[in-house]
Amino acid sequence: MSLLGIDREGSSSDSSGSAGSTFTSRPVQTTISGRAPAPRWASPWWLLFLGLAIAEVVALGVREHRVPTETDWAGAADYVRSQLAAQDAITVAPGWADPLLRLYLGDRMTAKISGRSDLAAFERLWVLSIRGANAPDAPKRAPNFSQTFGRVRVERFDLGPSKVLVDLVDAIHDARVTRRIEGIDDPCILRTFPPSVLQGGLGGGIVAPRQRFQCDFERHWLWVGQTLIESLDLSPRRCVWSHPQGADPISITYPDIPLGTRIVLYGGLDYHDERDREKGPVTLRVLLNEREIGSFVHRDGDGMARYEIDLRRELGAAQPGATLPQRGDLKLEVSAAEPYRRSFCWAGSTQSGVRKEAP
Amino acid sequence: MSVVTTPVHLGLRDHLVGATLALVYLIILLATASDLAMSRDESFYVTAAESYGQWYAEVFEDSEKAFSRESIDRYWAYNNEHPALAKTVFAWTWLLDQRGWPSFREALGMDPAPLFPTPSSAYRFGGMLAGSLTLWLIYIFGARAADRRLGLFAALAYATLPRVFYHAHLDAFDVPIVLMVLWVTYAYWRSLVSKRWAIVTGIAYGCALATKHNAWLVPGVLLVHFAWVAGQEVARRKRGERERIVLVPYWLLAMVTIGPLLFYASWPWIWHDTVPRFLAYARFHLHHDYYNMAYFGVNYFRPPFPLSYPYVMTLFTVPFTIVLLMVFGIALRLRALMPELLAKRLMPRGELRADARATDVLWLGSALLPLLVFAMPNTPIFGGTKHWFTAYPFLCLFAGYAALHVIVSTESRLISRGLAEAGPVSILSMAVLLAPGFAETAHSHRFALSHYTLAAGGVPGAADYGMNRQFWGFTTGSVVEFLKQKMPNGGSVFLNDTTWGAFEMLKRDGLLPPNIRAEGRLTEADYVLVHHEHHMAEVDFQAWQAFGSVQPVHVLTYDGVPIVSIYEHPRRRRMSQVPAR
Repeated sequence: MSLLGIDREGSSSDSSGSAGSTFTSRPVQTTISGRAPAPRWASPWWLLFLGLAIAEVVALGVREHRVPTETDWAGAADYVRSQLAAQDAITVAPGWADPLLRLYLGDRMTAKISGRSDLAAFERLWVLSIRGANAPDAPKRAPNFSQTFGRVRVERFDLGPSKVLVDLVDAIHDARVTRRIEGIDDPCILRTFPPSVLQGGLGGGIVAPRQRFQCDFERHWLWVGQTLIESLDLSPRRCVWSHPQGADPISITYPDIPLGTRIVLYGGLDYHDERDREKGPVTLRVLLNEREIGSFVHRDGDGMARYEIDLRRELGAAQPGATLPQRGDLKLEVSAAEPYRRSFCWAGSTQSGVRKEAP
Repeated sequence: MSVVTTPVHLGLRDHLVGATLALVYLIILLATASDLAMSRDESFYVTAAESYGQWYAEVFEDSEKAFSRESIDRYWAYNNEHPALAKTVFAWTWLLDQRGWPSFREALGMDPAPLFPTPSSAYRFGGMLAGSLTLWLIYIFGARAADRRLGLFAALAYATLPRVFYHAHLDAFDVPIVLMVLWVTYAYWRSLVSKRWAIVTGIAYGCALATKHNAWLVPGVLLVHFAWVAGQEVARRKRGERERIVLVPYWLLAMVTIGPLLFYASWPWIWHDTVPRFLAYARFHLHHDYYNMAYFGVNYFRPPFPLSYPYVMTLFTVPFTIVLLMVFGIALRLRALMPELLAKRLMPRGELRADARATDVLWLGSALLPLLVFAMPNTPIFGGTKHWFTAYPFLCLFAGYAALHVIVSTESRLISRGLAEAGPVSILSMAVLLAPGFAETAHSHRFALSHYTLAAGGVPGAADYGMNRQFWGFTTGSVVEFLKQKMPNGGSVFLNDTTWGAFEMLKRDGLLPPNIRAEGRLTEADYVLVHHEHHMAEVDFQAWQAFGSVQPVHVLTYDGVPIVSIYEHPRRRRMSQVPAR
């Protein structure tokens, strides 16, 4: 501690009963606050604090200077806009800059892009990044294109042709929706409703889409349709709202759709309903031509969990020569023994295979 | 030897220095207050102040009626989870602004204009005054206990803590309670050698109790400290040394008598049904709701909360130079923080001894207790740093010790080489050490709750870490110009985290035209505000769904980090696309 001079200091104010300290061994200098001896501890190390203070002020200026300008963002956005194709996704790094991405490119972004569960439906990924950040869902390799616009870097990753055959969220209006009542599957009718009036705000719930399968007019939440939830990690997820009614399932059937080799599903609950981790599980059963090919139990805390069904394995077609059905009726059943605040929402697709990158 | 040059006597000159500090700070606060829209909590205290103010007006008009239970319950029921002193001051300044001062001017034949430039500053004046008086007291405490320059440095360091500067503008309790706790501690410290200061301690403690519930913790620190000091004193007397400390705890007697009396007298709400109403107040704080707070990417909304929270947040929001000075200051005083026997054993070569009042121990205890309380896993952390502001004056006083070492070290090195006069060197050194605080505070103004300092990498660095971006919704004040520009003929706004009262204050202050109104239903508003906090993300998504677009029309940023997004209703978009005739 000699640097600090602690072990060489004298007594402080009233340790000797009177104010001030006595110094006898060294010559005394006059300073602004009175007399002070030339201190033994007066080390140049103390001057580091002055350097630090100056550096801190300079660092503040540097931080301000490094903020990307509107021109930087607009330049990057203009370039991406000029190159954008139908199956391109756009993201930003770090994630907190997402409002800025949407400010400059939001006219070319949809909930399908912003609320995506994965990149399977997309063939290219554009990344706008600042501060040298990398997008977590970008492939871990060099981009196919990279250019900087001031302090904004634009990268493009070519992901290859999408293997998605049917996006089950996109296709929801082609589905049949039923709810089981006393053993009978009662159809939920697809209707177009007037625009919802939503209180909104914190815990204000989700916005019901105008077109939705309303299963019960008395229970306003018992509907099936496209929406966007705040998932457990607070990210947006575009999905099919399928709030269970109880142990009897709500069923969504896609008749005669292309199947491919696998079905990828994501399921989770609205943040507020899942974060307490205290309510019951939700079961998602998947049936192909009325035969169960998968059953998943979502528990609070799982977040937007990924479920994958390998159709070759499930249909016993793993043997050489065996063939998979090209098409079929795909049914999803959602149920929960305790349905209170089980705002289950799922997304998914049938896919023709596994893409090397961004599967 | 010591770096400190403790003045023998503090006099008028010192109080003039303290008063000047306070006055300058008050002027700066008043001049910058209109840049800050009201926060959520402030708007509640405005409502409370108006209600309590009406009661005080009734006291003058019809005192019998005013003191009836019916009247007290009517005016004092609102916001009865907090004691009344601060809100009473807000009420008085509001009454002065709206009634007293205009009447006075009228009596002089002048037009009956209000005292304050805006209604919000009338409510806020009491808070600003408390923030300013705190500087005075820090200076006096530092100068009396150690060194004038130490006191000056500590006061200025405290004044230029970015978040303190923001909160010092507000009609809230977080800055007034700092003044009160500091006053109690100072008065107690003086009472150790002067019996009459025990009375002041009791009065100060009553005011602290009547300001905010932090006050209930203060006796804990004082009792432990007194046990320490008394133990040392007894040992000294046994060794035949002269008396230095008053061993009878008159201060405690005053605190337990005058304190509760003042608390009771200042709060008409508890004049009736005293026990149940007091218990309800206690229950509110002992079982406080938990609100959301982001910390390293996790949205904490219930216990257990992270133990590191107050320490890391202090590191991330106080200028780094000051943080290091605080740490070094404590290290410098380490020997004085130990009982004498322990100090001799652990640091035998050291000469630094605790003073009879163990001032260092008192300061350290007062600094650590608030931090320790908010490091407990069950203590709500929703208030960010403001809940442990009471620690900061003491930490700044310790920083003063290290700053003195820097200053005297610089002086002695330069003077011994004949390079400079002591005065300018001393001032320049202090100015350099305080420069980060001044710069960060100036930069943080309007966005102080979003501001992070060097250790966090600034605002973008904190965003990278996933730290809380803001709270209380006061940044709506920074989008007023956009709203005015977009709605020249009026319209509606969904306010998200801003309260209706805070929004209305923008109109009362003349910052927002009356035809721009708050809309409670998100889907019906012309414009939707989203205050970016982790848990507010759902409001973004609601707006996307409601308006069929993920694109905001405006994003307010601070150092490049989004603070507020604004979405436009499609009908408004269509209106703006219709060519004007």
